[in-house]
Amino acid sequence: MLDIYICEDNKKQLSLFTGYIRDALLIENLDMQIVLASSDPDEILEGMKASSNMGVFFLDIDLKSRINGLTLAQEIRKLQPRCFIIFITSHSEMGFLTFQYKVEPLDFIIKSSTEDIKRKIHDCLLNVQEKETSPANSQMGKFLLRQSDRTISIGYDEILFFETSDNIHKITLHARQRLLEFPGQLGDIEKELDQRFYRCHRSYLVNTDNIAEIDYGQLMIRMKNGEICPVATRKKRGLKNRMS
Amino acid sequence: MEILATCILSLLSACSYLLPVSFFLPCRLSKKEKWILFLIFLGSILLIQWKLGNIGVIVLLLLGGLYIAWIDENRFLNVSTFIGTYLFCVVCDYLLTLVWEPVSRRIFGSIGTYGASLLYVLLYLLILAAICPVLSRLLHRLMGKINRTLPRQLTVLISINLVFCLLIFLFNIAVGEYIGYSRPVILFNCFLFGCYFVISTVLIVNIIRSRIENMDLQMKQDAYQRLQEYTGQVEAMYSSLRAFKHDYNNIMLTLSGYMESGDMEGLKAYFNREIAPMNQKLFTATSRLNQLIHIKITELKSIVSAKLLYAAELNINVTVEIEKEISSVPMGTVDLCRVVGIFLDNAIEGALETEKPEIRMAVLDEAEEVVFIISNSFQDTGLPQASLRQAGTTTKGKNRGIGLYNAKEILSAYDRIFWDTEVRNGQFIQCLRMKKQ
Repeated sequence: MLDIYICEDNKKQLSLFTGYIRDALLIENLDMQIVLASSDPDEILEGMKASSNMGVFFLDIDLKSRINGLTLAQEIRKLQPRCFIIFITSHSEMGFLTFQYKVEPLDFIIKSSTEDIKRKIHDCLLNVQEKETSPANSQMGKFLLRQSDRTISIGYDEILFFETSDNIHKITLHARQRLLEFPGQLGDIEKELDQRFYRCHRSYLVNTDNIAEIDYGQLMIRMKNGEICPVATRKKRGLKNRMS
Repeated sequence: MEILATCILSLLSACSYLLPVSFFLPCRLSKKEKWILFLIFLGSILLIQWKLGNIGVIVLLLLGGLYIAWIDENRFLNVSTFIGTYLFCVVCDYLLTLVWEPVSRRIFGSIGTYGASLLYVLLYLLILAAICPVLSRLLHRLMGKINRTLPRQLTVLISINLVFCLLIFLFNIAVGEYIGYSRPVILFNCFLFGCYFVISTVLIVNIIRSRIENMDLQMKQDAYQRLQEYTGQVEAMYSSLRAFKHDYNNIMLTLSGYMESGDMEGLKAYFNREIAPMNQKLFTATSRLNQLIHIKITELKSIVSAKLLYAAELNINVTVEIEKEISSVPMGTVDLCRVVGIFLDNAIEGALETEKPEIRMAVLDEAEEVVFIISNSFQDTGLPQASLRQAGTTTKGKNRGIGLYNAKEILSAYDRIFWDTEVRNGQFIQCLRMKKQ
């Protein structure tokens, strides 16, 4: 069960959006409930603390309150790193990249015609449902990378391998659609991850689920997207055991 | 006894070559490679001892050089380093011999020649072990710098210099064979090599320095030129605003004229004909770049504005998000400009391949970091992203694709800057996070 929260300072629009969401839930018979619709961001924060369910948040950006929608979203992200955030806003030229970087919203809905908004809300809810029920999410887990003021999450099935260099303390995460550097030690990451990851080399930690083939002669692993990850001679036996 | 002592000596001197070589080479040697190198050194040293005499050095250099060229991609640099390292060993050896001779004659008269040479080699190894780590760190830093700033020509020149040095040296040994090594000869050798080394080093360093100065000057000139373009754009914006101000009065007058006469139809027609298009004209591509004024780093502003204006001219939809003033970044300005330039060039090329070309750029000034984000619409070719950062990989045909490789080289020198490349919803996103100190 997902909890839906809506925050919008205009009372009329608030009830309008709530109505759209209720309709969509009924039509699609989704496993979600509207918990709170409010014009006060603090109420939203209080409300979500009381529940243990994962949240779906529809937020306006200009809230005419203590904090704006962006700050609210950032606070929500801190409490629930994996929740879904959707912005409903009238500013089409708001800092799109800035928002994406800071809170990684699921989508932006621009306040245009009511018909458009209704359709977009419907699509968003279906998208949430799909993401929530896909096997990638429920069984496989995610790698969470906490940074000073944001959290990046990448599904385990997306990850190919982690790579590090000896002299610089940077780890590079090779994913299907991403190449991400962050500070850290490979050993610490290894403890955090589950069984499918194998330390095949002093500087490599490979996701055995995404291996296409292994060339034991050349000491190379070919990943599903064609990238190459080396294997150390000493780790060959362990890798063979893991793969069989 | 004699054979045993020679063997031990050879073992130790092979070590004395392997130690600096493994430290100085730009690539990291695996255990297996170290063993093979060691065997090559040992073999050639044994040959020198029993068969060939000092000419055998050629065998050592040839075999070692060939093997090193074989194991790593970066052949040219590796072989040069290898030769350089050999010369370094020779100079160290000479210097130590110079100090050692008088001391050993006085103190170790009793322990025999082999004992004395054994002690000598051990001491030599110890000294190498002490200075090599420090020197190698310095060397690697220098190499990184050279790699980034020097054109290939100059590196070739420097290597020729090294080879010449080696040739003179080999000639020297060959002649030395005939006359025999006496103390004056050693002194002379030492002096010769010392001079040559000092002079060539000074020369090389000077060439590098002037080259770097030249590049700086070039950068400044480029920045200046681009900035002039930007100024031109700003002036154009300003004058269009002034023209609008000038028109404004006339428009007001005409509007009030229509209103006074109650000509609603005329007013409508006038509005649609004159005022609506004017609104559009005022908010053209250039005005979307006005957030660039928040960049206070001249060189950065010049390159970003030049590239984005160029993009706007190519009918790419450009958006800039810079909310706070950016006056300093924890990264060298030259490096930053090069990397951002590369990203923007790629973004422009990538965006042009799509139907609705679009580029967004954001610079965020956060509490602990400065973040650069550049995203563009692109055609997904399915290339793995890691391969884009390798030399020669590109989506744009042959002999291209050096850009991101260069960016990787530059960024790898900074251990507090993190690079994130991502494909999301048809957008290609480059993101640089720079931790503030």
